[in-house]
Amino acid sequence: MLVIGELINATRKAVKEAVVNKDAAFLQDLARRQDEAGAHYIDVNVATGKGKQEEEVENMDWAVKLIREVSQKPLSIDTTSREVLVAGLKAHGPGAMINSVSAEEGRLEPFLELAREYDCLVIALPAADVGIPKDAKTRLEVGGKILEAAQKEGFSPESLFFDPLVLPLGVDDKSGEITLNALRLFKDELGVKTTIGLSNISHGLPQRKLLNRTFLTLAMREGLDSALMDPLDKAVMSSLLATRAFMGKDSYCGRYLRAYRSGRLVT
Amino acid sequence: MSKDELLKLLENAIVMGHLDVDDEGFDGTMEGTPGTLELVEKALNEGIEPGEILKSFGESMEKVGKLYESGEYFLPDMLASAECVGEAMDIVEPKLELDDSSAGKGKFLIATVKGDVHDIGKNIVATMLKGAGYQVKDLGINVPAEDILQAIKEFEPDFIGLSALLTTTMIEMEQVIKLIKEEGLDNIKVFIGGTPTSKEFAEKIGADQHCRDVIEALQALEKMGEVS
Repeated sequence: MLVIGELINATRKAVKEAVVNKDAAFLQDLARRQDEAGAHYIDVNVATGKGKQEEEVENMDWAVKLIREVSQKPLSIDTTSREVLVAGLKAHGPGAMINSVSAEEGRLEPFLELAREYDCLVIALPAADVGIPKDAKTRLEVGGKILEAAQKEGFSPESLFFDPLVLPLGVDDKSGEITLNALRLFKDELGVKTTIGLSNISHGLPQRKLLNRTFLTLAMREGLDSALMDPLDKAVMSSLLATRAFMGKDSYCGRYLRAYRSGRLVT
Repeated sequence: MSKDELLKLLENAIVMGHLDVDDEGFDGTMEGTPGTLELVEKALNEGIEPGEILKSFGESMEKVGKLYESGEYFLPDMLASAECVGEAMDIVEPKLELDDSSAGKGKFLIATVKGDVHDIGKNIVATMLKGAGYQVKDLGINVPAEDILQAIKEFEPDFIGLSALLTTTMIEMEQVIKLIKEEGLDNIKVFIGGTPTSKEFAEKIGADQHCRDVIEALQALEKMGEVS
């Protein structure tokens, strides 16, 4: 399970302020803590919502460079803008993750070209110009199209992570079930790797961490390979380790026990 | 049962998200008692004016909005109430005389702008505004500015709501507003919303109102209604 640390995201108020005020220490601290807590990748989203692209390009360059000073972990460049993505990849160097490509106009081929140039892993969203498909089957169809386009560009499926899309349970009480079904379909039909934006599931509901970690367990059982999530949430990280062990993926319960011995497990 | 008692029951059913007799409602105890749909039928059968029933929808949703704002209600609670109103509306609407439309609070055109396919927030706003008594036309997602302008000419709205969830698409809102102003349609109030948007951004592009959520939209609409 690849953990992508989600906390450096400018839609969160404290991060937005840090980006606007160019508070390098704040972002570096957040990166370091996610790194130490076990994140494999650290997501970077600097969209502060001011509506100026040049500013976002500069912010991405600035944020990536300063985070790289304090963490060896590769970054996940989180943007829908090609220009911002280029800035992030240039500052990062090869080996980053691109979050994300989709089947929407201008967000597939141009992003895949960059992914190849900078040797990136890629998160693929099954969103199309006609919208986000409501049901699992249509998501699979759109996912299939992205996979086809990627293979045409010479991508190995190994470098793609398909996100079956997580919509808030509080908005649609079937959305958890739909995502779980879609995860299974992506695994069975396309045989690709998968990822989700975990915290989306609990948006608008109380006790979000309970929902997040329960959903993570269910999703892992349906074949989840990676998640954008909060690595500082000790309970969800503990659930991850326990679930891995139950799924026969933790030889002699080694990781689980190491986590216990270093005091990282909570109930 | 008096008319007032019946409308009061209806209002309570909506606030409790009690759709029909089989639904258990917000507190889980209401199964077996008449829900929103039964009560609306009853009200119509007893000769209560459709316009008056619509008014009680609006008042109920206002209460729901307050409960959400205070933290007692969560999103699904609010949506359950909105569903009650939505389904009840299907029963009441055909009974409305044409001139009853004056009972409405105004016309609201809503769309997710070009390049953006997100519709959750926009749908919640559309549903809630309908519930609160606005006549809502939803153009859907990924709507080019020209199509919005065309719809304005046909629908003649009092308000327009623009939604975007991406920093790359929210700039499209500026195009829409520019087009509206070029056509001299300055009397239409433009609302914007979506995660990356801000008050600051609304001011920059000349929108009349930025809304963090549907409750802010409803409050702003009420305020504008009082002024005009």
